[in-house]
Order: sequence, then C-alpha cells, then structure tokens
Amino acid sequence: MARNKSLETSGKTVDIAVEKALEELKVRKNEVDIEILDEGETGGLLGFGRRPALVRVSLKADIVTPDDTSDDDFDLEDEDAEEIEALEYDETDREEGEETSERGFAAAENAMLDYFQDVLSGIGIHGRIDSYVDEEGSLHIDVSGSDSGAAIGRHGETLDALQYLANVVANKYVDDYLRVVVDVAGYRKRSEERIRDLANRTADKVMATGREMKLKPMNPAERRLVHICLREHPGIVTYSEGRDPRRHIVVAPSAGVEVIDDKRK
Amino acid sequence: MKELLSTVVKPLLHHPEELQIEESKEGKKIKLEVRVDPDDMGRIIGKGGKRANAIRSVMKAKGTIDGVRVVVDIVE
Repeated sequence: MARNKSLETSGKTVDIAVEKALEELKVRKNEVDIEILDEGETGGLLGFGRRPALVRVSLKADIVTPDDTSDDDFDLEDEDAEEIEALEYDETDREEGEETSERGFAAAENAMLDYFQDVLSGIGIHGRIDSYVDEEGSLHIDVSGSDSGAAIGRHGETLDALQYLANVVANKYVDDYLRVVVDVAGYRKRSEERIRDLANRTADKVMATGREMKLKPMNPAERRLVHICLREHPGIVTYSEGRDPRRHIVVAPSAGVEVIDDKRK
Repeated sequence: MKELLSTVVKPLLHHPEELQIEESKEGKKIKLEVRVDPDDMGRIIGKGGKRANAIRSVMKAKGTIDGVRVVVDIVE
C-alpha cells in the first residue's frame, strides 16, 4: 500500500489538472483525495487574466470504494486523519454501495455550511444564512442581519476571505468542483453593479475624449467583470497591466491601438 | 480568539489533532502562535500565502468587533 503518495499538477481547468494526475498515478478518481490549491482563472477576452488550475492529488491510505463503504469502515486501524474525517462526513449522506454525485454535493454543501456557520458565529455575527444553487450549479450563501457588516470588512476583504475558505472546505469533500459564492447583505451584488457602472462610464469618456484611461487596481474577478462588460463595446479595447496587487485595467480607444498582453512578462 | 482560529483552521488540515495554538496578550494586541504537523504547512499557508491571508482576514474581523489587533504567526 503506497502511503502518502501525492502529486501536484496543473492544467487549464481543475478537471484537466486532476485528469493529468490520475494518468500519472495510474489510479481512478475514487482512489484519491483531491485538493484544489488554485482553482485558476480561465481568463476573459483574449485570455486576459488566465491562470492555470493547480491541484494536489493524494492516494488514499486505504482505498474505499463505494461498494465497501459500510459500518466497518470505522473499525479501520491506523487511518490517517483525513480518511477518518472524510468517512465521518459521509456517514449521513452515503448509503451502502451507492454514491451519486448529487449525494457528494449534498455532503459537501452540509459540511461547508456547518463550517461557515461556525466561523461566522465565532467572529460574533449572528445573521441569517440563506443558500441556494444557481443555474450554473454554483452554491450561493447569502448572509443578512444587522450585525453582518463585520463579515464584509474593508473593501470586502473579510467577505473574500470567507468565500475563499468556504470554497476550500466545500471541495475537500467532493470530487467534482463545487463553486461557492458568498455575499453579505447584498454587498457583492452591489459592488458588481458599481464596477459595471464604472466600466460603462469610463468607456463613454474614452469615446468622447479619444484618450485611454486607467482604472483603479482590481482583483482578478473584478477585472474579469470589466473585460466582459466592455467586450461588446464598439470602439473600445480593454487590457490589464501591472502586477498584483496593483494590476489594473486600461480602457482605450480601439483605433490604432495595439493590444499588448503583458501577462507573459 | 483561540477557539475561532481552531474552528477556521482545523478543517483545512490532514492532521487536525496536531494543531497547537498559543495565545498571548500585550495590551490591545493579541498574538496567536500556530503550530501544525509539518505535512500540513502547505495546507495552512496555501499557494502564495493565500490561505494564511484568508485566515488572518477572518481573525481580523473578530479583532475589529472585540477592539483588539490580532497577529497570527504560523510557526515552523
């Protein structure tokens, strides 16, 4: 039994990276634990902001297939903590010889929601938590309540941290990638609207003056929003320049402008 | 402070039983020293320190409510 054997791979998407690792280790998906180190960024128009996904794939200490998942799994000796934890979380959602992706998602969702609730009340926030799955399969967590402001933080810093950690925990329990979007009191929604507004207003100014304009530094998700928003705008091109955390978008008139992708530097 | 940090960190680890947190207070500053199994260092720090920073942001939120400055030190 190969213990602790693990491999880090990267690929265009999480699935591709995982596929690579499985091929390398010559095992099937249910024989490994998958940790998403970086979900990557598929990039917007012309691939701006593209970043490969990075995963760590580890062989399970004891391979537990759905067929032998039964009560005596808990008698396994000398398991590593991860395996025991995984079994504990699966206990209520997995029946003998049966495991569908839907079940995996339900287990992941429950585990993640428990985690999220514990962290939130640990911070001292006792708002209401609503969750739903959107058309694209992303799981949304909406927090509301008078004391929920602390979960947003300066420029949404706490909100982004909570969302990131929720994604890490959610994907610890499922093979397929589950995306979690956290919002507090509609903050994310409003800030997306503000960014779209800013993008459109800037594009109008650039069209009126014929001169390019730089936007304030933004994170990848925000930059992506601007690129998508102005993709169809005639006479305008957008590109990013600079390095994180100062990386920002330039909105320029498209006539006579050469698009430079400085991502390769 | 310590309880929240443990709640945040434990599910990220493969060896949660090895998690150790020492809390010390100096005036308005709370220092949390975190030790994990060497195998779990990457799981607590994350690529480019992404996980460590997210953990610090969450702790900072509680610090803001409690009126203290929180420092999270991940000790090797």
